[in-house]
Amino acid sequence: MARRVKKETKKREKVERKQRKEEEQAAIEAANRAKELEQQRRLEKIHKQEEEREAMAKAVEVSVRMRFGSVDHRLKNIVREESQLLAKGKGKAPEAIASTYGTANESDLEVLARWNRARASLMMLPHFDCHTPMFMPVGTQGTVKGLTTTQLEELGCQVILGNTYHLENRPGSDLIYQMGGLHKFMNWRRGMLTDSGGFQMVSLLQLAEITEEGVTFQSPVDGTRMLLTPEASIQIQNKIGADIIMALDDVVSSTVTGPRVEEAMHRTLRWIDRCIKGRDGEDTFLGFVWDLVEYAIGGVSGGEAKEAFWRVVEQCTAALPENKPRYVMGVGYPLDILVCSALGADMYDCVYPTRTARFGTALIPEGVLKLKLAAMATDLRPIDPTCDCMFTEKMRNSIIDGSFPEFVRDFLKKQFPAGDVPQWVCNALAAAGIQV
Amino acid sequence: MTVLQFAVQTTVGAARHGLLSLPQRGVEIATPAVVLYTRRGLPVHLTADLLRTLGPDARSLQVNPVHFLESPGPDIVQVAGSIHDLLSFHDYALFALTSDPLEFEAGGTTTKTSASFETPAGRRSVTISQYMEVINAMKPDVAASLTDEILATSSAKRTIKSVDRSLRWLDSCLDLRATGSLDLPIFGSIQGGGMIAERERSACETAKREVAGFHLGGFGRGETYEERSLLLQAAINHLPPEKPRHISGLGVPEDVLQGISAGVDLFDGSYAHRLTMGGFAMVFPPDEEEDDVAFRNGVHVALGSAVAAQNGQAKGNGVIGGMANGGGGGGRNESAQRYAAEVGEADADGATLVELKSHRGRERGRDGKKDKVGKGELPEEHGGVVSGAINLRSTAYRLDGRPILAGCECFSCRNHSRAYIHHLLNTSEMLAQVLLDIHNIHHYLRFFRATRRAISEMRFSEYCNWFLKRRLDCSNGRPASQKRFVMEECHSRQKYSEKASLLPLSVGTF
Ligand SMILES: [Zn+2]
Ligand SMILES: [Zn+2]
Repeated sequence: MARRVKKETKKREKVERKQRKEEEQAAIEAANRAKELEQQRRLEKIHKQEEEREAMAKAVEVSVRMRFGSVDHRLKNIVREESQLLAKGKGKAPEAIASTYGTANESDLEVLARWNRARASLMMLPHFDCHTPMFMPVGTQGTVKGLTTTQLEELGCQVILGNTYHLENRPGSDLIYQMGGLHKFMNWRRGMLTDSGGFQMVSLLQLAEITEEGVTFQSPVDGTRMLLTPEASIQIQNKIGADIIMALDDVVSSTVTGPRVEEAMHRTLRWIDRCIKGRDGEDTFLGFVWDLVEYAIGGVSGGEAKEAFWRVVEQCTAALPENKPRYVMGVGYPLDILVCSALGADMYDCVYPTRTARFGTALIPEGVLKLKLAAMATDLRPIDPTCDCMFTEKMRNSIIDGSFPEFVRDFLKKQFPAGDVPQWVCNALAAAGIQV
Repeated sequence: MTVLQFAVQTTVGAARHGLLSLPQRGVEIATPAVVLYTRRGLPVHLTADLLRTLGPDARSLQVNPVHFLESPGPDIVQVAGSIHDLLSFHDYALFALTSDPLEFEAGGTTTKTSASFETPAGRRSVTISQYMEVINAMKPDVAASLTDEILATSSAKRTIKSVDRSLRWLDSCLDLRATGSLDLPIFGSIQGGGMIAERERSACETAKREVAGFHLGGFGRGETYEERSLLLQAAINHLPPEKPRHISGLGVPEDVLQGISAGVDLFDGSYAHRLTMGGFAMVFPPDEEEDDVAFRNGVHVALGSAVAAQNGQAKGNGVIGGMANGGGGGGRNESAQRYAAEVGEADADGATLVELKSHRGRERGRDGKKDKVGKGELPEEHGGVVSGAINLRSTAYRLDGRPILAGCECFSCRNHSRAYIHHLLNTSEMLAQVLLDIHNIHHYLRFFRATRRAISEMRFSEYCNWFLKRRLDCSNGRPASQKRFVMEECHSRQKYSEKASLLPLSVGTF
């Protein structure tokens, strides 16, 4: 009797144990699922944040940082202002100022072909002869995300960007100099451009303090306070040894209006003068333009900002000398590149293609392809069946062989199959002599 | 039509050099060979174009079926056509093998009908029918049968159960394959843990089935060096010589040589991946010819490490010992020495070292160069002490403009410096792993090529002898701190086995 009870107890225990085990298993599975969901949510959030940040950065760049190979008519006004100051015994000679804004090499760009305002040119840099219009991928820390230098060459990449601010943090310009410059350090044979390091200050604005001397900021690596002066920026860039270097600018957020913007503009001009003095070597030096057009932030994708955007590009390219490269910073959407090129700009850079790739999105003629979508799982077609992956090269060729308008119309037809081409694009292209 | 042909060409003792051909893929794999590691079918850091640059030896990939249980699941693989279609690896030999030394399988609850695996989407139980559904959708070139992985230290009862289950599952795999439309070559999985008799039984029974080859499971799971030799022998003695044998868990060069000596043909490639993930680059001498070149370039400064230790400089210089461990097993240092004694017959008394030294001296004299590695003289680059691998995360390489390994023909060594890779690691740039992987895989393939040549030239035991001496050279000079390091490492490995969790890779885990 007792034995039977014992046996039954044992049996019950066994069943219970089994149940417990199953419950545990279920709990683990539920936890796994929850973790997955959480992970997905987090990724989406990061993605959204990154996109917002990008939009923000783009807004800032579009509104305050139009950079060109030389001076536009607005600068002439500034020169006039300076000369008025000079008359009052404060400023400097207009000639000195005007000469300041040229590039080092007077004939650094040769226009090979033209379609109305659009142009295909040859830009000779110390390391590489570049064909423009061109897109320059961002290689922040001496590498373009995950790609080998051979792969970059195969992609037709002619110039890569280095971020002075990041490179100075790690590995440091002294080390790069010791290793023979960034070209040698990363074994890159083609063109290279470094920025001034100033733009990164925007993202660190809460830490940065701008004075006449330069930008003081807190090192994100060790928290020490560092001062970036225009001279130091040039010195650092000289050590890095890029083909094209940039002057430090006084950055303000595009939300700022009024006297601070004026101040920033004048300070930037004073800083350019200091930069020029600090420059040496064969690099091509790009001064740049403060643009006073103010856009509504957050409206970048909206019509108004874009309308203002193309008008600025249009005015600047009209006023700029022919033999200078025209660089529109932070522009990377194919549509924007198309419009700017139609208006006569030559160089572009943006983190957009690399970032968007990181989030599983591919650029295709029709726009973008989100490869993470469930529908993609069984889609066996290539990303883009017509792709040889070279938008700017195709565009360049169309300028050379005179088929640029067809290229533009073809591009727009694919991007806007319903014919709903945004008004700003139509306006911009009309200004460039292309009927959509 | 899946065809798998295998022909043994040369044997030295139990070691063999053969040719595994997959005519439908245009792939010929000279064995001993490594089957490269992948996650979800893709080499973790290499794009297809980079993989191709690694040459004809890099044409066999391990594809883990448990990575295709979901996202993408078998339905999606089915739509694509096959795993070759999904990955666009039509001219690659794809081996469906569940064994993944980086994701220890024996941790979960294995039941009568299902095995438990660590997958990219968490731990999953896989039944035999689920497994074969994935395999039938994938249509790989070879698939191993589902198997019940255990530790070498598992109980006799558990070991016997594992063998029984693995055999039953093999039968089910063969049955389910018959219902599928393909005549897929199946590798029968052999278990048996740490028990000689069970290894024999598992091998005998598996060999009776209609299998195309064998997968030796459960190695590198806590067995000692001697035990492993006996266990390998026990199983392989009962396998027909005309069928290929794959093993997982043996990745460290010494372990690989032990496996080859026992008659293994195919090895898993996770060792190279592990090193890459830890920021390590292989620099051991892969073959005799290259050795002297490397020596001249001051890479192999084994004896210098002892000096460095005396000077108290060994710490933090990114050195890992010659008997570095990657694949498992305990007491590496000791067991490898014994192995050397075994392979090198009467050489265990240290005379080899003296002989090697004097030999090297002669070499140097002939080239009119001074031996920089003399006693009491610290080589300039002691930070790069090379026995097995160098850790490029070490600040010792900040300004090191040399390639990872002088004379190495890989893309990374031809184009980039240690300093640049150090910078990439330091800034968490993904190109670091790309460049390390290219070098590590290239170097590992070179090592396998050297073993094949040694077998085909009937001098395999000489090669082993030479190789182990060169590596032992380093471990003899291993400072005390590193001996302790080995102890800790063994300890952590044990914990690793118990917890079945993937260790974060760092200096201490090799
Ligand atoms: Zn493409
Ligand atoms: Zn190499």
